[in-house]
Amino acid sequence: MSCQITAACIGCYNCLEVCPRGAIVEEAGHFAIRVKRCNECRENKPGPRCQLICPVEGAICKVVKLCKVEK
Amino acid sequence: MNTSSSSQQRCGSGNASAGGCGSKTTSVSRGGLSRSVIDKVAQHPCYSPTAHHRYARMHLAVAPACNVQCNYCNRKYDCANESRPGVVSELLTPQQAIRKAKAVAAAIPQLSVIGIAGPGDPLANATRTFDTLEGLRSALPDVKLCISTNGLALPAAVDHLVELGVDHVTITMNAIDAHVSAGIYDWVYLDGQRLRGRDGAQALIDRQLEGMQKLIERGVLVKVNSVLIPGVNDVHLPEVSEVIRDMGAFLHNIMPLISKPEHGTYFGLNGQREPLPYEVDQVRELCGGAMPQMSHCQQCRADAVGMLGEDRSQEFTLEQLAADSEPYANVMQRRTRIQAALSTQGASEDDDACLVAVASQHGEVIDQHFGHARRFHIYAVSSEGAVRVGERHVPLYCQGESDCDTDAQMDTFNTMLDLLTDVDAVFCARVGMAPWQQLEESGIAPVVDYAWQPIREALQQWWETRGQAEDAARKIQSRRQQGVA
Repeated sequence: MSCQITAACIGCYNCLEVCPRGAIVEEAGHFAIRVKRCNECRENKPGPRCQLICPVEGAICKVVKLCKVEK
Repeated sequence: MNTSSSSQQRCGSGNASAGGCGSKTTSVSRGGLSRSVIDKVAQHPCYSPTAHHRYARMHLAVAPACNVQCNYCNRKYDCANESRPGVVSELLTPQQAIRKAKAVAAAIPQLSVIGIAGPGDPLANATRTFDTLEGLRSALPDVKLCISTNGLALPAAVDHLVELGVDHVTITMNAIDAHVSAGIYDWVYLDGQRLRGRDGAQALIDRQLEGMQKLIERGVLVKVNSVLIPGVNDVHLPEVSEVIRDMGAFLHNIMPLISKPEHGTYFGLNGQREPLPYEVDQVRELCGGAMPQMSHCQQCRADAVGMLGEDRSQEFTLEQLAADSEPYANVMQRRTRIQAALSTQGASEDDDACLVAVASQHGEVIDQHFGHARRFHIYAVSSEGAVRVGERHVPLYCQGESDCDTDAQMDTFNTMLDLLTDVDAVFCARVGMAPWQQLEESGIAPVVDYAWQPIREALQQWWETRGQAEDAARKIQSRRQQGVA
């Protein structure tokens, strides 16, 4: 379970300020989410805080894992 | 980057605390302002219509994030940290910001105010903003600190701001009615939620008013910025003016919306037009009945440097900053001399003129104990009278009895002494025996004879009697010499 930052990111730093788990990393203006630290803000009903404060639609989204379908 | 005019429109930010030269008429009414308020704004270019001819300001871009999405703002446009080859990032870390501030203070002695105004909202970046303010407070004890905010995170920040000696706060309030406000903001982010529409608008208004009330109760001067958006809040702004008057705000700054399709803002893309100059004048006039209006604002960027109406930020990019060569104490003394000369028309350079420090809580009466002062007001006393030329923020000397006469207190005293070496006398309501002696040993006269008296009159009187005493001493001296001869 983790969110991820897409190429639509404009580097506004909003997510970095609100992440309670220090899961957002920034390097020279590029942002990424540490998968192991992110829990998609499970405890926060409205959803992941980074996604809620992100000013760009689609710059932060939840990673969807595809399940293997057993034959 | 950062050149778009949409950057001048940052919610509560870029436009905010800075003003500018260039307008022919200024209409800040001064009626009814107390002496201390006039003194407080006399060196703040954005608050005083006369100060911007003499004093410079600087914005430190340390606050990128924002908790409100305004329809007149495009976060992408001046995102300070876009990473493209050849693009210089203007976003500063608190350490870089303090280095830059020192360099600018040394190069531009008229620099009186340092503000944080974005590029996002200062209080949505609380750690960066407060780290910067704290660093500035100890590294540059003689500058005014100022922030400009949308107000959403203000209530919780008031105590900290007051503690750091922030005297001026600008709040951007475009409406006081959630109906109107909902048309100006897309959403606000609060407590882990994105609030849209009237819920968001109301949450923002509630916090703006709560923050404003707290600030005013603590004696902070509040300026309110309102973006004039034709057809959205133009007829509503007089109502805003009345509410902020009742709250006790100091100044209302109505700024025209900047809205072009190429700015990529919601308003710009949706054809929201900018107000015409006469419409701005009209609304200012309507609001003028309730609140003093500011009309010299230049809606400057969140990284502007220099006198109002000019931007010298390109001279002070990080790469150009030299390593600290001069101790700031020297820079500070030079700055004070120049600022004193500016505000006394040169009289502060006369032989009989001097600088003095005054311990006063609100800047009106000499009412503070030496050990309780968090700042000293610096006055130039000369034939021009007693003129306030600035302030020096000092560490608190008296931390309670347990700390008395310890090494730590001695260190504090030495720091204070370094900040007061260029003054002839320190005026306070009382001063303990130990610091009294230490001050005298350092050539600074402690003066408690004027406790509880109004500063200006007291200093004037002291200066005259001092002059007479010197004259008398000179006469005695010459008589003696004649006698000897």
